[in-house]
Amino acid sequence: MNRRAGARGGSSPPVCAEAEAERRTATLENALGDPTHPAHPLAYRRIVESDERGRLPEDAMGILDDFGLGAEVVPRELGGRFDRTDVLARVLRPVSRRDAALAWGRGCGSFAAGVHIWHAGTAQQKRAAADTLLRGAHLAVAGPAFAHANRFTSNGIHIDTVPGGHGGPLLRGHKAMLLGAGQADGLVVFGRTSSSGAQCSAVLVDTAELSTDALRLLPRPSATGLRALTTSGVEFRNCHVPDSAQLGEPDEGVPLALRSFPLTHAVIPSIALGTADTTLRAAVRFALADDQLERTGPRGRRVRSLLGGAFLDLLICDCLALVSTRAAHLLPGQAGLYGAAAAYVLPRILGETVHDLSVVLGGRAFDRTGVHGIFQKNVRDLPALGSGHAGSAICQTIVVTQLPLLARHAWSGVEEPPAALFRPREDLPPLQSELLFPAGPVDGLSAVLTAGAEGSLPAELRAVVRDLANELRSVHASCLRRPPPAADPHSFALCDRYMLLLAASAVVGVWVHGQFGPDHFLADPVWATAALARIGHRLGWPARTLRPSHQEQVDREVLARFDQARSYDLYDMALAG
Amino acid sequence: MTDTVPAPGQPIRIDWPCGPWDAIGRELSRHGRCLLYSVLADWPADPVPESRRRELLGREWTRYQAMPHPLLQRRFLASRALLKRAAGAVLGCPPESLDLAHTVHGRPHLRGCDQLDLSLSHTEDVLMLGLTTVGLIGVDIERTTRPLVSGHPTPRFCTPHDMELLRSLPEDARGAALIRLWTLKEAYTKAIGQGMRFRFHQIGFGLDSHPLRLLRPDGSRSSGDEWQFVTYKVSDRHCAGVALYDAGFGGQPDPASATMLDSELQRLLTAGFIRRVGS
Repeated sequence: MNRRAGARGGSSPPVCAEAEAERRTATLENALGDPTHPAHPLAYRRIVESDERGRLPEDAMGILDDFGLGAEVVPRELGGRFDRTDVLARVLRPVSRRDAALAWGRGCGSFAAGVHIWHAGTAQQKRAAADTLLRGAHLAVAGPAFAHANRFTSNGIHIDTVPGGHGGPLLRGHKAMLLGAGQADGLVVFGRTSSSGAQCSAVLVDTAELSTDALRLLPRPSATGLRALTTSGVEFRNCHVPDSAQLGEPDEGVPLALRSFPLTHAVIPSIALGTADTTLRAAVRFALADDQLERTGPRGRRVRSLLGGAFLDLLICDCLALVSTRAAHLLPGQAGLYGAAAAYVLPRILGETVHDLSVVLGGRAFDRTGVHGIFQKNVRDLPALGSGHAGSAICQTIVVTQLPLLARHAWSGVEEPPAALFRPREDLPPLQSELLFPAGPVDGLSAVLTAGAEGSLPAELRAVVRDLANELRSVHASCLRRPPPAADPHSFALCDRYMLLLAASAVVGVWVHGQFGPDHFLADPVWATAALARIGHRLGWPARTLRPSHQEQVDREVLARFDQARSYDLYDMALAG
Repeated sequence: MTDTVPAPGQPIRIDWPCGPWDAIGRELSRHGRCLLYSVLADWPADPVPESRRRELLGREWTRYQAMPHPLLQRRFLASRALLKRAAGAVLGCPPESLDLAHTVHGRPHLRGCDQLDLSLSHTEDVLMLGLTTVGLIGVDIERTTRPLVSGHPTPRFCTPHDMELLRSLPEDARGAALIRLWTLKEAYTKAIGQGMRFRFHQIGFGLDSHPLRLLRPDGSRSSGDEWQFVTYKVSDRHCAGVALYDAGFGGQPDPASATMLDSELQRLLTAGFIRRVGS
């Protein structure tokens, strides 16, 4: 599998190259401007004010339209610019750095809907959806509900074909919360097919063609996060749509959703890192304004350690996000597994991180005005991007189901993945979505841990990698001892440990394959050693205190990236402010 | 069994090993959270047979063994027995199957089971456990006559507004008010996984407001509707503070672990026919 992926990487022409990816991201970042400048249209204070009103910042729309953000989610062959999953996530981070709701409402939501159309739509549906997005309009998706669905994910819509009726699908029922429904011109709607129990179908509907009797926007529910997008749910009342609205085969809705997971699970958490970046930046800004970093003694050390820890968490998350988005191109058979790990691990770690940072802001963590007000907004928005437990349960279903097979086939003697998987600026082969697999019994990523434990890493890094490799062996042994997948907490805990180990493997891979790169901070093993120790701590190890010189190195980088307005991720890109 | 039926939302007294365990799920489905307390003095001498302790404690077994004093061990064991039995009743699984893990800063959570959040507190021989399916929970229980209460508020953990509030009270009411403030601050900082790393003098509460709100040091409102705060009298000698964060997902009507894996997804993943779709 790995050999084949490597061969594809070597022989296929590159798609969007680094120079273009960097140019597009920088163009959007600069167009959105310095968010700390109070007079700027997308200043943090204006974004917070819009959120308080439950609205997207109006001044942003023109900027995003001028940039042509819709084209970022339209495949290149349909006239758009989407041909790399990692580049899509990278280009949308400048938007999510300002406003998570804006990133969802003007990018993620359309991508989450569009990916089903690119996978299963007819030529006409693809053309119509592409045209919608290219003219600056939006799509939204009412996805299928899976086990343990919550208010965000539950779906009471039924799609049936009524004999003797109009012949086409008939939509009935409601979905209480549909992110971005009020702003969407096109809806991808999944609904249970009454005749077939657990199965469901999908349709693509043009909201302009439906009467207000057939499609009704439901009243605004209260919301904690992404308030600007939760303006409504939808209700379909005897809504007949033409045969041409059918998306994919009838009753094949769940397989379609499952096939889209490797992309949506990888890209959406990766975009959330932009929001986490701003949250860390807000804490650093506050600490500096409050003279907390100047202090000597325990308080100053604690604050610096908190900020450094948060930065390490963001790097851990970005390593896993990088691997999961690039795996879609390089290891499509494994991409679903890494996407599930990213969609499970990132909301968890980032949720902890933002609460850690609230210690820095203290009583000001709830400010709803001024430049610090963005902090509380992001604390509320970040969990909403991950769909809570309902989102975890889907990822756990994907991984737990594969654990016995992974234990038997995937964790011994597997070849390491290609270096390009871990290099953010390296070219990728084209995306071949027909090869994407939601989860298979192959895992080359964790082979990086095993190889690292036996290889010639720097001593401190090797010690922590060895401990992590032992954890992987322990998970392996537990999986072999157990019968096929069981819906019990023991399986869920094993799955949790395994996904943390995939994050650790991504960190090791990024360091190993970036150590001779141009980024001096990332080339040094200090960050990787410290990041892995934090993962170990989450696995239950006793806390390992960083050596003072190492802590200072991480602290310096946090402040340098703040002073020089550089992003808190693997790209280290120049920001507008 | 306790002979007192608690009012809705009130802390439920748990007698080991009788319960009432079935009340926990009902409380959670009604209120999205459930508060339990138990008095250690009423526990049997050997609540968990030695042969079962290692299995119950799992990865915390080493920590338990390293505890220097039998009383500490007893309280630790009882807290885990209460927590895992209660969580097991909600999730429909044996207590031993649960893995109690901790975040980097020590906040406990059930590894792999994020439909249920929890918080533990103890004072003297009273254990308190908070459970929620709507987001995050923090609980703290204190004896109302805890020595920190001298009737003289201290700037170390009071905001200027707290101090003003306390000074406005009759002297004999200040101690109880200060304990309420303390438990609320503990509960909030535990809910966000920070505990006393968070500077208590930076957050206050208006104890006479309904609902309770977290306040800035100057007394202006700080937290939004996503946070709920409440205090309770527990027995005659204790005060409990509770902080609850609603993440906005509407709770989890069926938190059982047995229903967590989607059967249709599992069927498709094991059947392996996804490759056919659209290809």
